[in-house]
Amino acid sequence: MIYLLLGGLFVGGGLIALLSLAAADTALFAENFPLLLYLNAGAVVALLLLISYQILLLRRRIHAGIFGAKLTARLTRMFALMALWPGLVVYAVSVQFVLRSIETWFDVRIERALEGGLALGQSALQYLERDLVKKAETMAQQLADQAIAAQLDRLNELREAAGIQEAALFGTDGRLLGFASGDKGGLAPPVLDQGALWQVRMQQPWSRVEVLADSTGMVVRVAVPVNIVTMVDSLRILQVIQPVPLNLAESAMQVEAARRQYQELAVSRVGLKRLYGLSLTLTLAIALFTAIALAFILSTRLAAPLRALARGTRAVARGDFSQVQAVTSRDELGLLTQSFNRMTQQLAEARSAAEAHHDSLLQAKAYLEGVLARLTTGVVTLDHDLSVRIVNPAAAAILGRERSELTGRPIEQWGDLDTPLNHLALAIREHFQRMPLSSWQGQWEYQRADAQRILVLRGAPLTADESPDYVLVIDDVTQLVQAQRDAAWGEVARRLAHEIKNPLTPIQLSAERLQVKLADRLDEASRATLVRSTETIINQVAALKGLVDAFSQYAKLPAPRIEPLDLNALIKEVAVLYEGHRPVSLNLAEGLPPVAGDPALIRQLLHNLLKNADEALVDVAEPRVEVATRRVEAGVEMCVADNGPGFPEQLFNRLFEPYATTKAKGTGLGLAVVRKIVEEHHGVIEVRNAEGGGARVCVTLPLLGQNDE
Amino acid sequence: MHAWSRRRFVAVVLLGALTASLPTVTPAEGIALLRADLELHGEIWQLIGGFDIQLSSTLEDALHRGVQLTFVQVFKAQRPRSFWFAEDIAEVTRVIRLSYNALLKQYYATVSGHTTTHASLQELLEHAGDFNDWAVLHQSQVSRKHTYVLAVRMYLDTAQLPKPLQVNAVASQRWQLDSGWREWNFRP
Repeated sequence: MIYLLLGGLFVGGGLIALLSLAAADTALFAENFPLLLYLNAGAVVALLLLISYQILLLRRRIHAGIFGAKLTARLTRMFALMALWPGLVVYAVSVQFVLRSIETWFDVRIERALEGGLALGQSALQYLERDLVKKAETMAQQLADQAIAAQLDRLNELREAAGIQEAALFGTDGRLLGFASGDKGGLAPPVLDQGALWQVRMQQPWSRVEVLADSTGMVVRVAVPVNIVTMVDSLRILQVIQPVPLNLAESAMQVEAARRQYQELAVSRVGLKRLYGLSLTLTLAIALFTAIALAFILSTRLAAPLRALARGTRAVARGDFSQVQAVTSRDELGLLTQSFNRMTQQLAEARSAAEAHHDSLLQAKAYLEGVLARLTTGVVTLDHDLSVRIVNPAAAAILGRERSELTGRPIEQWGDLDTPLNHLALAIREHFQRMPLSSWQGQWEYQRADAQRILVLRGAPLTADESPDYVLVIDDVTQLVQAQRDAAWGEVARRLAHEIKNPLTPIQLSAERLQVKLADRLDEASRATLVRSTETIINQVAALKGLVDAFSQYAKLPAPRIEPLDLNALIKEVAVLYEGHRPVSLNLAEGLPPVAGDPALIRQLLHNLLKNADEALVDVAEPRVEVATRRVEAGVEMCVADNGPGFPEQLFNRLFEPYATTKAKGTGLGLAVVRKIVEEHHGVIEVRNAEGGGARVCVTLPLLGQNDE
Repeated sequence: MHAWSRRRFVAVVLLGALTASLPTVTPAEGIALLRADLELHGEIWQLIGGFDIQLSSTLEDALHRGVQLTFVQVFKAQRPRSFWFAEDIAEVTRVIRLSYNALLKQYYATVSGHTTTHASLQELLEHAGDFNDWAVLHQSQVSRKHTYVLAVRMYLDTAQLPKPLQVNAVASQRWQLDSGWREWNFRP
């Protein structure tokens, strides 16, 4: 379209130039002037069509909601207005000026003066004409008096007498008879035309002022009749020619020429106005329409980068940073596009950086969570107002609650009121509130749902500022404490065995020797006393030995030799030993896999448990002992149950410690040994009182190979 | 407006252009053919007869104010052919210039370089309209075997007017003077 318009501009400019040239007086264009006008008008119409098409196009774009179309329309309007206003002003002024100046050419006084001059010339010429007619008539009378033959001879004489330049004599039919001229070697006189001949034959003098062919002067021509009476002719015609005085002729011709030019202008007045008006209008129209069409194109071009920017903006809004706008111009719009591109690029980089950062954060968080999840130490973080943020799985496991029950709430809302967890939480809160800026540490006993745990809690602020967040570290030291106690008891047992066992044999030997040596020397009564006493000593020493053996057994329990063990077979084997004393009912699951165990140690474990049950059933009316096995997830569970009095409540915490016993004769080492064996086998032991009365001890032993995982 | 399709736009424009181009000019009635015929003089066919010229008041006024009026007489001879376009035999043009001298109150007619002086407008127009034995064809150009179509035309050549008057001539009917083509058949 721009080329079309440029072409139009070129053609229009050419046409206007031609028009202005044609308005000046140039012969070449004079002939083609109407064509030029039509061409110009055609150019105007073409431009008008172009503009209409552009407006139509623009309206459709606006209607279609194409971005930038409204801006284009506005720019076009502005540009068009900018072109229109000065154009119209110049046009109005020019038209007014031209029309006024054309009007000033015409003046009634000049016209009157010219007409007056013309009339003056005419009257002067008429005077000359009349004068010459008189002279001619005089000459004709003089000629008429002459004989016909002498007329031609007298002609020159008469001509000179009258002071006339040329005289000629014609026949009635216009035939030249003879002439006399003041010019030497003058040409033949002009022939009278029919009108003149006819007039003269009617006895009327004929006269005419004629302009010379080369327009250098004028002559007066007069023809008068020469009346003669002959046999041949009744009439001859005398023509005299006299030049008009040169200055008069020139002046008259000048006046006539001026008057003609003036009148021509007067006739052309409307035409001139139309010509200039039309030229100016066409010029204005072409210039204006070209400007408007150009404005449209320029506006479209101006708005084009904005359209591209809008496209880019929409793409960015969609999250697509890949659309890079081509930078086409070096002006501010180009700069804007460039800046936009840079911004888009930076956005893209920032987003990728943010994503990378986010990824690394996620990784770090996952790493941290992994670490926290695999810590056996419980970790809890709290806000400054002691609401819980993070609880790691270990902490939840230690506290025996789900993580969701613990996180996201103030710490005092842990557990219901008056539960162990709530008490613990209140204690923790108290510590944090008392020492908000320093770390603290303490040990608590915590009654978890399944077991009593000993916890070491350490609280510390996470940061060094005024209102720090906190971290609470929970260690379950139950096992550690238990191990310490076990170690202590092992040491005691070992010392006891060592310190007590050594003197026992001499005591026993001494008592036996006393009995042997003194029995014969004493009387019957004394001997009986001696025997009783020494028996007592020997029996008590034997009991002491048993006690010491038990202790040393506990202290020096051998490391288990793990091998595949059929638990059911072992149970049956052991149960046979008790058949005579107190039968054991067996409730064994079929098809159990072998467990990992040391047969000797497991046998001892079973003996200890059965012995415990047996001892508990001493005062029971219908004693009953049952051994049951079943497959559980962790391995194989073996339970020994009785219907005795069960374990006293106050002893539950210390059941597995040595010397925790309910029996008068018991060493209190039975369950301690059991637990030690279970721990050596990485098993689990659970002790509780059955609901219908009686105790129930369950041991779960892992399957072979299960612990390797 | 926006609903206009491009095709409809073009159609409307074309219709407008067509309407504008339709001839609205009716032939001026200032020049009428009185008589036209050919006469053989020696080897030359001469045109006899002439046009009757009636100037409009505008043109008469212009003439009296000193504007030179240029008329053009055109003679055309064609031999029609049944199977093809007519054959052009001859086309002869001559220019007649009419002028007026206000000082001498004389009218001048210049035909083919020869100027005649006339005392009245009527005389001038009679002279200007007459063919005056215009030699238009040579005997060799036509054959007795064929019938020819002859045509004459006389019109005011507005292109020879002064330019301001040309604008008037373009805009106004009063400046249009044209006999149009007047045809007759001729067999030598």
